[in-house]
Amino acid sequence: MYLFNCWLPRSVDVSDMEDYWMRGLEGRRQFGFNYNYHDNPWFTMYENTNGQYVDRIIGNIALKYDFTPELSLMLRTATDFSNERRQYRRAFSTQRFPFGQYREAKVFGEERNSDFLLTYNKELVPSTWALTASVGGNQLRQKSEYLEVNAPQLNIPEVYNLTNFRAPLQSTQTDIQKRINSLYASVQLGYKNMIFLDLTARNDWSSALTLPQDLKDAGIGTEDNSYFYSGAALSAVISDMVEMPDFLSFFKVRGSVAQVGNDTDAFTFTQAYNPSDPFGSSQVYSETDRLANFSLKPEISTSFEGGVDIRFFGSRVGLDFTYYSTLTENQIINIPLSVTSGYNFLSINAGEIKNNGIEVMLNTIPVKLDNGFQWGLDVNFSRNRSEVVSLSDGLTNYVMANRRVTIEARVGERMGDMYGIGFARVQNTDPTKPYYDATGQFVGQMVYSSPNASGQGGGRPIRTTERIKLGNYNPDWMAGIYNTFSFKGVRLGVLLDYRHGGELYSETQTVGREGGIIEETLEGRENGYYPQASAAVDPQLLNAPVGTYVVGAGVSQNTDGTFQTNVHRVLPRQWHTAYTGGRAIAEGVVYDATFMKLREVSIGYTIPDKVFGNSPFRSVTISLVGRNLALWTDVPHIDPEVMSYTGGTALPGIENMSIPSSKSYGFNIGLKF
Amino acid sequence: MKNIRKIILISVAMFSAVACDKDFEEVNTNPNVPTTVTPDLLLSGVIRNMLNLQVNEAWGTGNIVIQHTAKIQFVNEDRYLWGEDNDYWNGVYNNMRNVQNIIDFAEAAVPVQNNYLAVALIMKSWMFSLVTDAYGDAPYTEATKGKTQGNYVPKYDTQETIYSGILADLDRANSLLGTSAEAVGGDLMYGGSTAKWKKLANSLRLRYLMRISNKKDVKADMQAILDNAAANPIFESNADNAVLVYQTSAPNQWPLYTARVGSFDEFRLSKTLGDYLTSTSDPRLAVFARPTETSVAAGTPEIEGIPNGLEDTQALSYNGGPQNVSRVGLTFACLVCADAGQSAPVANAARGLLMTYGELQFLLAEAREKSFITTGVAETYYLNGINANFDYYRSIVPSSYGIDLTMPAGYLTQPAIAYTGTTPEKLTKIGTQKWVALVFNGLEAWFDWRRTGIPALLPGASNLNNDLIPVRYIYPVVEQSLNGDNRTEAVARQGADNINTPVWWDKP
Repeated sequence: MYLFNCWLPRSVDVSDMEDYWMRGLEGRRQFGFNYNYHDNPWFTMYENTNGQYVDRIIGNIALKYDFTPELSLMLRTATDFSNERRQYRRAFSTQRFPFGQYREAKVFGEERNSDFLLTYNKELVPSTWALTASVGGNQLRQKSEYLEVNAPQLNIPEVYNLTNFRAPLQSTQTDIQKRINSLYASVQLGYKNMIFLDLTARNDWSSALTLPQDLKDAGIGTEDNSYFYSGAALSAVISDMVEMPDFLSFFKVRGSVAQVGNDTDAFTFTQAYNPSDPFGSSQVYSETDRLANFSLKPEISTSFEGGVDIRFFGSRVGLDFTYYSTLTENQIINIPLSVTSGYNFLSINAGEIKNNGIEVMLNTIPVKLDNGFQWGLDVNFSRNRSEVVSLSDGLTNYVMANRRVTIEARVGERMGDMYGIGFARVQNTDPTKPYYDATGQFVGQMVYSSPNASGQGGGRPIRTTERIKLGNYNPDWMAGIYNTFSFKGVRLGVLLDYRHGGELYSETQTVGREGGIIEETLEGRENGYYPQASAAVDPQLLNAPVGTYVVGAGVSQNTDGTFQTNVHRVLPRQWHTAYTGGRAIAEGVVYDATFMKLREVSIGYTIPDKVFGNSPFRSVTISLVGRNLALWTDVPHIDPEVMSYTGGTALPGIENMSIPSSKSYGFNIGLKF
Repeated sequence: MKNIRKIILISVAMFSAVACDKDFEEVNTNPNVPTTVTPDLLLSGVIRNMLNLQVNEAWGTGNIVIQHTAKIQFVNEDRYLWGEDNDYWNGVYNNMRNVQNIIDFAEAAVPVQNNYLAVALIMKSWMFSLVTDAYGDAPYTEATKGKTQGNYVPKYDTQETIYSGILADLDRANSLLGTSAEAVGGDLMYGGSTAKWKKLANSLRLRYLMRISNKKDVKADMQAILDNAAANPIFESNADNAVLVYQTSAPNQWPLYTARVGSFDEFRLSKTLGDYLTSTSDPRLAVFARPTETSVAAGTPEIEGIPNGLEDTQALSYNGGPQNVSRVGLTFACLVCADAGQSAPVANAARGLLMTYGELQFLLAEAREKSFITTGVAETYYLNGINANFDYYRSIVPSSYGIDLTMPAGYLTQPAIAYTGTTPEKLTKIGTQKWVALVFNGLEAWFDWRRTGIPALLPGASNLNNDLIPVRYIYPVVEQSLNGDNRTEAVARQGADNINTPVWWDKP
């Protein structure tokens, strides 16, 4: 997307490049529009392929024995097994691989679960008290083997084989295994199908939280690899217990307290020295930049949830309301550190992280006519807030993502706040700080640079030296609206999703402005270009026609410290780089991520059964479905829902050359026999 | 009934297997990587990474700000629109983790591995000088103590403190070397020669004493080094140079060898360097730059630089376009960066530079001229420096490039070069030749210019820094989030966190 969003000029017809080899140099030299930086996209697509072949088997064997009608035992072993071969090809003349490259990886993975469950099921008092109790255990075994060999340069073009290497082969091997053993028990008690009580308890033992023998022998660390968690849930159908007014057809309340325990990845206790490419005969190792924590404890999150489910007027109106509050203790995270500590990450048990919110679901049928027409309207609403109550090891800030801006969870503040470099503005609070205006006249206005002695460089936004808060990536709330209309077998469904609030940093905007192919860069060239020759003799563009330059709204500072309204003109190709201070200033490219999406529209028709007479088909449905059909948002060019990733980890709130989300259309036929 | 018993037996067996954490120690033992290594395995990486960093930092910033090269495209750095430049910061501290490990391993060994310890202290001193010269105050005494002391937010030390530590460590390294028996392995610069490391330690001491000489009286310390040459050996020839010799095959080739041609060609010969070398008929010009494509096509090869700090379109159209502006020399070029008709450049001609004999001779010339030392003759040091740099390029530039690096007759006696004139004039000549000798040596030429103002550089016409040449890097912005209080304290002490705040040794 980097190429398409930012650097591929509109004047290049992509189809002209479809024949992507240079004549007579097939396999050796690509043909393209720019040989200095970019690969021909057709070439990239057809030659530089990432292939993947996966064999996967999922299966289980279960054995069940009923000792009595009430007591049964189940034994089961299940496996999920995959064998994968990945092939990465890079052809000769690829910008970054002039001699091509061939990399092959073999990935083996298996997850095996063996469990038993002893269940006792009895109606203690017929039609009054029902009991289900069970005890069980599970062993989870995970195993993966990764082997990669890389031929960093090739001898002969188009031969993708590891024997065809021009520079020494490089290999990588990683074997991982992990086990979790668990024992659990549960009791479910029901009274007259009105009141239900569920109790559960579970203990896990994790290999990932077990200290390796060499650390134990050396007396390093404290082991805590066993963790117990339990839960209780109570629900009652009040409408079955008490006489209700007529309009109230169903009333249920529920409440629960549930805990979940969690471990970590295998080998977290390894403070490794990792090999890298040797230098001649000298082997090269480097200590990993993540600092292990040899006293890591399991994390436990405890959530309280309460809710009601009420239905009125014979279920024409239904309301389901839930409040939840979760407290996670000892959450295991790799928290970023200042590299000056010698390490970039530290594995910690984060003290307490709090999370609470509400979810509301309203189901209504506003119109239901005797002729069979029905309009259904379902609305859901959710709102969530998270906060780090405390961290550990004297740390007070969890930087969740860092790219141009940081997404942070500072202790005591809302999780997900976004910080970045802003535009310098006039202030009247601190005379020792820059851009102080005692008169207060210009307070809050952006400050622009003044021209240098050659008359150049004026009118550009000045950056702050300190990061400022630019927002929070989390939405304030989200909602969905689902309308259905049905009439005589025809059914129309329309789903709208809405997200309110939250901010987003857009890298597409930052870089796209430099490339000059996004719409925003039209600013300052409405009337074409001020000729280079003129700009050379008129660096302040004093004689430039209107519509060939940009003047930023704000002020510039005079040499005596006073301010005046900014009048300095900037050429458009300068302005759009200046606007981000050369990819430094984030403030101008942070957007309100509010959006509305037409998530789905479906139209279907159920053919009356009589059409099929005696044939076995029944309830035959034909429907057309379109997804992601429209998007309304103030974020330019990109879908605010698409996130960027670094090394497989999502960077929340940071968009980076995201691929456009795609519309999809489908056609369904449903048959029942 | 028999079956029931069997099933119960199996489930009990499973239960007991499940109910414990048998073998978990073994399951969670990582079979892929070691958890301890020997110092040689770390030293090789530190040297390679740091010398690569020197090359890349010189290429990306050092050569430009000091006007060895200039940009014709993506000109932000040449116009001093500097955002963060975190490569030195991240590179130094990330590699310092391994230096710290070498120190810890060497000190824990019985007997103590003094040679490894000394080599690590030298690398540490040099690496911290890079950080402090670029950024000013920085974490030093508390740095890289995350593992050993649980210090995740090290305080920033003053540059004065850092330099006291650097000089003490270099002194200590000099006395430690050769006092233990172990051979130093993984030494990509000196192949384990403790004698050469000793020379580097003392040569660096002279460099850093000179660096702080506007703030401290360094005469006695400098003279003391020279007074006892047996105890304090220094570089004696190019054979002592602290350099990394690259390899012909990937992945240990000259770092720019794998650059994209477009990126490489954004950088051209600066008019400042080009004009100086042309005016003195200096054959080294042909090493640093190639004749313009137009002049070669016309059969009259000529090397022409471009002024630094031009605005985008002016830079790209200067002198009629890039084909009329010299590309950077073949010695430093990328695989596909040869001119039409030329064969591909040699992958390991250029070296990664830490410090050379030539630089040391210029340091001594300056010290002698300023009477910091009384040993030797300034002119001799100066001429040694020039000759050493010519020799160096004669030894590394492949003969296939057809560059004649014979010093022209009269080169050393022409008025611009001859060691004549007032003391300020002589210092300018020393500084200017040193500036030429520091091409591609990281940021060293910039550090030196900030101290001496030599050569007299003018900011580019389209500069975006109020006609000031930057004198500092800003701290990595993420430090505001990860080590905020300590950074704030340093900024309050040192001055605003911008590119125009001088560091301690550069403060008036």
